[in-house]
Amino acid sequence: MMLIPSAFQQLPSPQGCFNGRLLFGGAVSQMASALAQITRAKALSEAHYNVGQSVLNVVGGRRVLGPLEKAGQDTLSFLHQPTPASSHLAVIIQYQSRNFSFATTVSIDVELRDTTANSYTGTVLDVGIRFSQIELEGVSRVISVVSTGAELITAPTNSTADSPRPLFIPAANRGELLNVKIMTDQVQLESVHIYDLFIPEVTP
Amino acid sequence: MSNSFTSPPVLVDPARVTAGLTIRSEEASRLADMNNYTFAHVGCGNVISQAWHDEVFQFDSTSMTDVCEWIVPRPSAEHVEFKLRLMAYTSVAGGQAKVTVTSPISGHSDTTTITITDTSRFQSVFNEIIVAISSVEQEAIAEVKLSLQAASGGIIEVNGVQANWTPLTTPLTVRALDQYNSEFIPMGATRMGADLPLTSRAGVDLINNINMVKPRGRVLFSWSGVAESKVVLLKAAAKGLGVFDPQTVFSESAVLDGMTESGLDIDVFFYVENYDAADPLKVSALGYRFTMFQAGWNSFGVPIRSEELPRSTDFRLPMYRTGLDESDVNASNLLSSAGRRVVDSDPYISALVIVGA
Repeated sequence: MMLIPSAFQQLPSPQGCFNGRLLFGGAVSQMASALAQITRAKALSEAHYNVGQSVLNVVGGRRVLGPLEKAGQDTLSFLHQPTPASSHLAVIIQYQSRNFSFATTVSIDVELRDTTANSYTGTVLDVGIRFSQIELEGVSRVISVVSTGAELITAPTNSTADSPRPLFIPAANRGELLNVKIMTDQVQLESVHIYDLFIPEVTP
Repeated sequence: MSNSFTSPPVLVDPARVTAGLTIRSEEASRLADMNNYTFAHVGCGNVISQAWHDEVFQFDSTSMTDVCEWIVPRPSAEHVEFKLRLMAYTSVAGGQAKVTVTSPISGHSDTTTITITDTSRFQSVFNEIIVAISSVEQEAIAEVKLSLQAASGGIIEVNGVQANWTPLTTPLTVRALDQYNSEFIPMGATRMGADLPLTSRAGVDLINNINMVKPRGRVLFSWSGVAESKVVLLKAAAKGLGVFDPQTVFSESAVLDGMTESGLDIDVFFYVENYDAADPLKVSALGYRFTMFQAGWNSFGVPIRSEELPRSTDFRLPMYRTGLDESDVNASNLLSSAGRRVVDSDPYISALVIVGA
């Protein structure tokens, strides 16, 4: 196993590689670490979806949180372009939930699909997870945040939604445009953030 | 001699290139492989991502109209395909969308127009709008505009937008490759293989190449207002940033250590409408107070100085809040019913983009 540096690496001076100079292992090691950082840390992709709400047209901008308008169920798609090396996706969601006492179920389901032929209903790659009342805050008129966390799980085999964990990208679909599909019940999304997860240890 | 690369590349084991060990051709060829891969792929993640709830961003004008605008970092002059995916539908067949990619300094533009296919929200497919860049552009950023034209009697509803540059395919072109007025030297797979000398030139090129790729932009947050949308019951999509937005118009993003030491900073772009030199708009973001100095795009380069978030422990990367701050400056400068309003031609921010390295 080797460690992947997350910080930008200092490089040797190009003069260290000039003709007549002895090239030391340390210099080559610095180049290798810098490339590992760039390909496995810097290159990681993030998608930050602010989910826009209606505002008063004369004002033109959002003034208040406003009442929850999304009673009932809704399904939204969020596209994400991961790197070819990315195997796990974390998701952070800002949301507003109707007070639980007014709803029979309150949940956010997150699943991962491919986007073959630009379809919203591509093959399910990860059946995904459910944020239920256990994880969600049931206070109306307040923005809450929920996260999948960033544990580097092994390939999941669940056939129904798991409790929250990162999404897993099968090897065959890495580097492809993906659809993070979110189904909500009595929840209004405010923002959805999708992250390629950093893997600090890799087998070279 | 092919400038090929594997995707993703196999890493070089640092334990194999330490003092006292011979430098094997396997490590040298992996370095070349990673070198080529970085040029092809780094900077090709998401550069635009934005969504709207249903019945928010509806558009009914039958003339082609600019509605959204973003700044995106450009990986290199060799990356000449920009893909924007539009999650939208048209209620009457014939609704169109146009994407324009402009280089702000050269002024060169390329556009692509498509016809929206879905007729209901998330019905079947999103539309992929591919813009081919037809000139060699050395600029580090590009402006992207989305324009819409509804069919007569119909509406277009936009539910989301995502975009990225298309990575280059293997092998890289056999020549010096252009990026920001510098030349990236790709490496031949055979040349770095066994039984060939490890030249001084290879080492120098490798260091220069790595230093070239480091500054490529990573979008930490992007948001555009909607210049024109259908008004329903006095409401429409937001044109600009409002006083509530500091609670949602930000991200928790990885800002990597060592940026300052590498001469890199965070670029913050604001698009200002109704600019008033006598009352320049002030906005606080990333812990800084920015004073706008012109109409249109205003850009600022700053190092990160806000506090690292507890999320860093979880994500194993240094995470920071990148976006609008909750501050008195924003409370008194952004759009609100009691203060600045678009109907009064007050100045406002119609787009915000934050780009890290």
